Amino acid sequence: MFRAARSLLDSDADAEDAVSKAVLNAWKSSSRLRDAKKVRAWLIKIAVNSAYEIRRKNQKVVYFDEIPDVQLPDEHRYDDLWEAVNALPEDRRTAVTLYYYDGLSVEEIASILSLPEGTVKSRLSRARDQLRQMLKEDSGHENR
Amino acid sequence: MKTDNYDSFDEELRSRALGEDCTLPDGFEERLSNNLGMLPEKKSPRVIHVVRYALIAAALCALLTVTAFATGVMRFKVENGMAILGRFSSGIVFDENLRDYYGNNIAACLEQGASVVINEEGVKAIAPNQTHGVELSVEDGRFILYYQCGEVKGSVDMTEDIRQNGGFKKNISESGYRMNITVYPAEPDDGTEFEGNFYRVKGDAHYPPGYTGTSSFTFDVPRKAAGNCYMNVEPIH
Repeated sequence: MFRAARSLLDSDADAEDAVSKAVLNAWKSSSRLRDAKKVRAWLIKIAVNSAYEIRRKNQKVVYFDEIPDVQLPDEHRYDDLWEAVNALPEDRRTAVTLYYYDGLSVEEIASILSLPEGTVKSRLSRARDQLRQMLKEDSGHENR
Repeated sequence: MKTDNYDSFDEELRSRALGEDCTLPDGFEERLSNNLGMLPEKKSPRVIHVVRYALIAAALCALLTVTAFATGVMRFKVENGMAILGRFSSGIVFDENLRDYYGNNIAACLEQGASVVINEEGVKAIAPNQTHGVELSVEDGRFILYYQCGEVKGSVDMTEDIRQNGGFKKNISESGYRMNITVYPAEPDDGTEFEGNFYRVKGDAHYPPGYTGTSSFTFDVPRKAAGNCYMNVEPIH
């Protein structure tokens, strides 16, 4: 849940807030869950929705001095996959997080993000291409 | 070849993702635990069929147990520390919270033609197709009660396991206890596997001080649920 929320939010603090909110929401609506097999996707969906909600609130005020510097992939060395994933564009980042870290299926991700499955596949494919390049460069750094 | 490379890279990503620790903010787990600790307690998970049916039993057993407190005539059979409450169509229902339960004749049909019968045959709630509805609450708690009318299944919310509410025993002896059930249409929730129409039921029950043996549910089945609604629990021998 934390990673899913973090993939949509700019800070750990916001992601934590999203998870806390999601836990509370899940608790309140636990009677809506009818299939225990879907509990994982259900919880992550709640977390994602909480993250969206927090992001909407945060978007009301944006201070220029808080806008982070954008680091281009080819100028950065990625110590781990998560760091590389976080450098992806948001739409790909979220899809990759849900797919690789949370182990959800394309179908489940499509449901959570309210997207067609084809869009999710496309995002994953592009993300893979980008990650391959980023991690390859990372590997290249290590070999130097 | 490209596909092989993709598959290989896909596996690599998956493997690396699984191998990486999720770095959480300092104190995150503690704060989350604290938040969880502040949530109102829920005893019964309510997610799968067995659990769903267990909640039927839980609701009914709340009734039975409460009655037992008042009359001392009911007891559940306990096996391996688990009380087997009954057997619904989809499986055995367990409730580890119950330890003592007798299934003597405690039954009745009151008002509006609906009834719950509790006897050696188990627990049965019967609701003719009616339009009358009652909506009450049980003290500070609520029941969740799942039911089935042919293909139609529904539920009652029970945010608190009343059996676990120590205050309830006191209430029974001092002020009685009442229950009525209302069934009303509801939108299917996400992930539902319900077939047919979805109904929700609210429950309340009443057992007067000194109650000795009659129980009642009043059901309202507003539409499309022709025929009897019933819940049945096989006897514990």
